[in-house]
Amino acid sequence: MRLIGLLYSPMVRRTAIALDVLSVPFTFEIMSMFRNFEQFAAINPLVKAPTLVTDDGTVLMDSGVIIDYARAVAPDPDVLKPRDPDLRLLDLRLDGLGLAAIEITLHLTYEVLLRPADKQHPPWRDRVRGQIVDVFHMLDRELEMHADRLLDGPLPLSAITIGVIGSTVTGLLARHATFGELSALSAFVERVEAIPSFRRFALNPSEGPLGDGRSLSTFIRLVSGGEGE
Amino acid sequence: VAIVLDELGFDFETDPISQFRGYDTFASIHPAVKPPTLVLDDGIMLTDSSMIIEYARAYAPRGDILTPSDPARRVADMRLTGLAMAIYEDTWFVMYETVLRPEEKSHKPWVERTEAQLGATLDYTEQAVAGELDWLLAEPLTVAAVSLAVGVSHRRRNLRNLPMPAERYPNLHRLAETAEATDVFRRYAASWSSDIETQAGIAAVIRGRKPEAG
Repeated sequence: MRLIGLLYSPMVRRTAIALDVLSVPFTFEIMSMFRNFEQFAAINPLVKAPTLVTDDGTVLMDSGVIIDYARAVAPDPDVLKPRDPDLRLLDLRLDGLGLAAIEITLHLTYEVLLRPADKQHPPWRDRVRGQIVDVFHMLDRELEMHADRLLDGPLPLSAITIGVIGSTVTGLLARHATFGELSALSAFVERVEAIPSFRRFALNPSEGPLGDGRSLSTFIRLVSGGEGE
Repeated sequence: VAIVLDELGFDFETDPISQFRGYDTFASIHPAVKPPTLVLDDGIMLTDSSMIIEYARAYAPRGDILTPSDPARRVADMRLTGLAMAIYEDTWFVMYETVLRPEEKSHKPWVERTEAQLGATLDYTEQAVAGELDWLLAEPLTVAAVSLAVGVSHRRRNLRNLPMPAERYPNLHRLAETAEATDVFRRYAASWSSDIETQAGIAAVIRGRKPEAG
């Protein structure tokens, strides 16, 4: 199987780490939805990252769908999904929160990073900034209570989702919203980033958001219709 | 999510709170303000449609009757669910540029890119459902069938200025119209008044007012 995208995207990284934890054999192909648009479109005309191409050539997209598929073909489908009913519910609840955090982070990225300042809409931007702070503080409180439970046994999917988005906000986005202190989240990120599957699909800041070392400002110019460098 | 919960035999109430107009009310229930949110009887809250559907499939009173028993069809159902998610996402991006902000804040390169992307997604999905409609439209409707029908209806209602002609998308139109005519879809019909409610809420956000006062 081939998984396609950039690890800079939280959804792509979540999917890659989940497939690795499931012990599903796959190759990871670094491809940008922007820089490699034509190449990407030849594989998946919808140009959605992550994209999975299965061994029989079926093209799947959407992180949740790909992980569902991988669980169906994995040696042990119960990996990622705790058997204990209470932990299972906790995992579903925290994974939903982690996905909410990814979504609101994308909104902030689109409104603040990917458009010229004169095209930003302040009421919307302020709403998104307020919401992102609320969501991350909520996650922080949850981790204060539940981090040990999530990391005690086999890695549940919610730990991957939260770890991935936690790494993104403490790195790329730290300048663009005032998150305040997120000590439980920061500690959690440090713990999960030491897990082998996280290290195999590590965020490499020198790759930049295009996967080729070019800067964030180049990325922003390219995405907002300019030519870049 | 409402339709899937109903199909799976859950007993639940729907509480129509807008994330725009009812922002503060929503936030008082769940600070993430991420519809759909499911509040379980013991007060535990789940957000994100895929998580709620996963919960519902795992704990359905009559068992998970929505997963096709044929393995190839099960993969097809996953694949088509992914396409439905792409329709939601692309519709959202176009709405984001053209409906959710004043015209002068619309960013032209993004408008062009997102509209082209939505068109490509619909073209691809139209082809992908051709030949699959018989099983997709058998009841109970699968998660892919529900997701696609809701996605197509939502895209048609909310992007009225961007036509989606039936001649170009006959399969998607048939899928949405047949599904919308089933009892379970009619129980959770997206009403005209809820559209107006949504648009009034969006308008309040666009004008920069506190949504609750709008």
